Amino acid sequence: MFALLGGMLIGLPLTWLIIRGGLIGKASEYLISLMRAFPVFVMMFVVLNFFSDNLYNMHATLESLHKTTLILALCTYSAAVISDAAKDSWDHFCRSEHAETLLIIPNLFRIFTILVMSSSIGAAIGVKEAVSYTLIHTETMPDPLDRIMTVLAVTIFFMLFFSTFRFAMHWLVRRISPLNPSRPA
Amino acid sequence: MKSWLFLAIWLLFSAVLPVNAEVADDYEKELQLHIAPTLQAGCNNPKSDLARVLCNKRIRVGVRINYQLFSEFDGTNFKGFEVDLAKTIAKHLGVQAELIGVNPANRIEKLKQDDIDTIIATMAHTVARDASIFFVRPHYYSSPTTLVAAKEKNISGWHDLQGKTVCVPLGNFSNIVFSEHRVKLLIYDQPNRLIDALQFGACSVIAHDRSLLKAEVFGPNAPKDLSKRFEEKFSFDEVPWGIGVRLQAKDDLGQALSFIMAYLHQSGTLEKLAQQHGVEIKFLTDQHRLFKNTNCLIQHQLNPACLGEPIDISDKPTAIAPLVHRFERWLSEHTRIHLLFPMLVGENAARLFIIGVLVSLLLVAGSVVATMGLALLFFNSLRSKHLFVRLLGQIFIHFFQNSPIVLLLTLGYLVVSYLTSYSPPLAIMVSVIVIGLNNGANGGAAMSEFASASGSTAPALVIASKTRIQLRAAVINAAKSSPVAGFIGAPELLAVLTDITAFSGERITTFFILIVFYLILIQIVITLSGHLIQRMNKYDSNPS
Repeated sequence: MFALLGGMLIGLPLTWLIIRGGLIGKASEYLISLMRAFPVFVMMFVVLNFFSDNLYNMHATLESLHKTTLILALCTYSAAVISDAAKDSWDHFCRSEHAETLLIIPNLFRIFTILVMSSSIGAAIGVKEAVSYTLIHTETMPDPLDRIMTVLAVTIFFMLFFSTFRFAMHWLVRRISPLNPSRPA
Repeated sequence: MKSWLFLAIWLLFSAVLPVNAEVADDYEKELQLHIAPTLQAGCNNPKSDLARVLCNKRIRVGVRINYQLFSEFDGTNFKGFEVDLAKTIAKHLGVQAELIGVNPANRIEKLKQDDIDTIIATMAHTVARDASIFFVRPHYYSSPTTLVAAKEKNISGWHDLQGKTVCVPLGNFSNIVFSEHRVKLLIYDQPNRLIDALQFGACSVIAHDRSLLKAEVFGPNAPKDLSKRFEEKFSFDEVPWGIGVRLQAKDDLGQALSFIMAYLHQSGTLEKLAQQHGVEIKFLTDQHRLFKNTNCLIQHQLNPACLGEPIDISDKPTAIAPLVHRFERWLSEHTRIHLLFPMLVGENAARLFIIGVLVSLLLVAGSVVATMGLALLFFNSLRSKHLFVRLLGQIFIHFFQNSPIVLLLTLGYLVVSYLTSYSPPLAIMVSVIVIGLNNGANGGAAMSEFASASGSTAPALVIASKTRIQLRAAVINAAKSSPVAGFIGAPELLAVLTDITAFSGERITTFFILIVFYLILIQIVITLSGHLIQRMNKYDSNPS
C-alpha cells in the first residue's frame, strides 16, 4: 500500500510534467523510462547499501529500516507503471472516452497486486513477511520433502489469493465497460 | 614436612620472580633508552612522530565508537578495552591520550593524513595492510571469525552454508573466504545492526569476530534472550589485531610502542584490562606466558620469535593492478573523487566480476528465450484437443502467473537439490526455467485471450506476432527479473559485486557499476524488442 501511494506521489506529478511537455517533460519522460527499466531487486540492494545510514538514524529498529528499503525500491517500479497508466487514462479523457478513462481504477488494482507479489523479494534482505516466514520455517525442517511440500502449499495459497484478485479486477473492468455508450448492449 | 615444602616453593618463586621483574624492568629500560635521545633533542623542531607526541604531551589515538567491549562512545566518554589500552600506553609515554573516533573505512586514511598518531581500532594485521602502515608487534589481541545461528540450525561446516545467506560486516577481509565457499552475503556496516538483524530474524546466520559475538550473543555474559536462542557454530581464520602507526614512524613511535606492548604482555596488564571488560583472554594469557618465560629481548631488540606474524589472505594482484592504482591516484589528486576498483586489482575479485557479468548476460538471454518458448508452449496447451491437457495448461498458467517469483525460485531450488547435488550451473538453469515459466505464463495467457477474443485459429507464431506488445512486456519483465536468481545461489553480477563489496569495503564503485550495467542491459532488451515490433508492424501494414 505504501509503495502504491509512494508511486502515486512520484508518478503523478511526473506524468503531469510529461503531459505539459517541454524540456522538463522530456526529462521526466526519461526519468520514468529509467525507473521502468531498472530491476526492483537491484534497486532494493542499492537503497540498502547507499542510504542505510540515513534511514537507520530515522528508524527505531532494523526491521523498519528494511521495510522502508523495500518500499522505496518498489516505489521506483510503481511510479513508472502508475505514470504509464495515468498517461493512458489522460489520453482517453482527452478523447472523451470516459469508460476507458476509468480503466485507471482496475489498473491501480493490478499494480497493487503486482506490488504485493513483488514484495516477496524483501525476503532477500530479511523483511519479515509471509514469504520470509515460510522460508525461515522450512530451514528448520530436517526432511527435504517436508520443505518442498511446505513451500508448495504456501505457493498454492498465494496463487489462489492472487487469482482471486485478478478475477476481481476482470469483474471490475466488465462492470465499467457497459458505461461506454458506444459499446453494444 | 609441610614447612620444607613451603620453603621449596618459596625458593622456587624467589628464583623466578626477580627474573620476571627484571625482564619487565628491561622493557621499561629499553623504552626509556629509546625515547631519551628524542627528549634530549628538545622541542624546537620536532621531526619524528615520537618527538611530536612527547613535545605536545599528547598522543592522538584513533578508536572505534561502536564496538562493544572494545571501544564505545556514549556521547560523552569513550570506554572499553582498547580505550584503556590507549590510556595505559599514553601513561607509559608520560603524555595524555586524546581519543578520536574512527571506523574501518577511514581509520588508515586518518592516520596517513596525520589526523591521528596511532590506530587502536580492532584492526586486523594483514600482509596487504603492511604496505600502507606499520603494525606494532607484539599484537595486542587476536580473534577468529565466528558464525552464530539459532541452536536448532544444523551448521557444522562450510557444506551446511551452501545456498544460505550469511550476514557479515562491511570491509571485513575474512569475507573473501565466504565468497570462495559460494556463500551468499548480506552486508551490514555496523556490528550492532548485525546483531539486531539476527535478533529480529532478518538474518538467520551472522559472522563476526568471536570476541564480540561471544560477549553480545552466545557467551555466558551475553543477554539471556540471545544466549538462550543462539550458539556459536564454527570459527575460522584466527587473526592478530595490531596497533598501527605511519610507515615513517616505525623506528621511533612504532619501536616505543613495541617495548610498551612487550611490557604490558609480560606484566599481565593486558590480560587484566581484558578481564575487566569481559573480553576473551585466551590469546592474552598465551602472550603473558610467552613474554614471562622466554627471552624476548635480544640486544635491545624484540626477539622475532616472540612476535606474531600477520595473516595473508590478500587477493593476488592482477596484471592491470598497477595501472588501476595509478588511475585511482590520478582521479583522487585531480578531481578529489576517491574511487576504488577492487574488482580490477585482485585476481579473485576480477574472476568473480567476470563470472558475474557473463552469468548475468546468460540469465537475461536465457530468460528471454525461455519466456518466449514457454509462452508458445502454454498457448498450445490451451488450444489442445485433449481436455486434460487444456485443464493442466490452465492450472499451470494460473500457478506460475500468480505466485511470487521468490517462492517459485525456492521451490525450484528445493526440488533440484533433492534430486541432485546443487551447484551454480544448476542454480542458473533453475532460475532461467522459473523466470521463463513465470513470465511465459503471462505471455501464453495474453495470446490465449487474443485468440479467444478474435476467434482466430491461426498458428501460434501468427498469434504471437499479433500479441507482440504483451509478449514484449513479458520478455522485458523476464530480463528485469534475472537478478533475483542470486537468491538461490546463481553467481550473477549483483551477488558477485555484493561479495566484492563485503571484503573490499568499497561500495560506491561496485554499486555504480551495477546500476550502469543493468540499465544498459535492460535498455538493450527494450530497444531490440522495440525494433522487432516495429519491423513486424511494418510487415503487417505492408505484407508484400
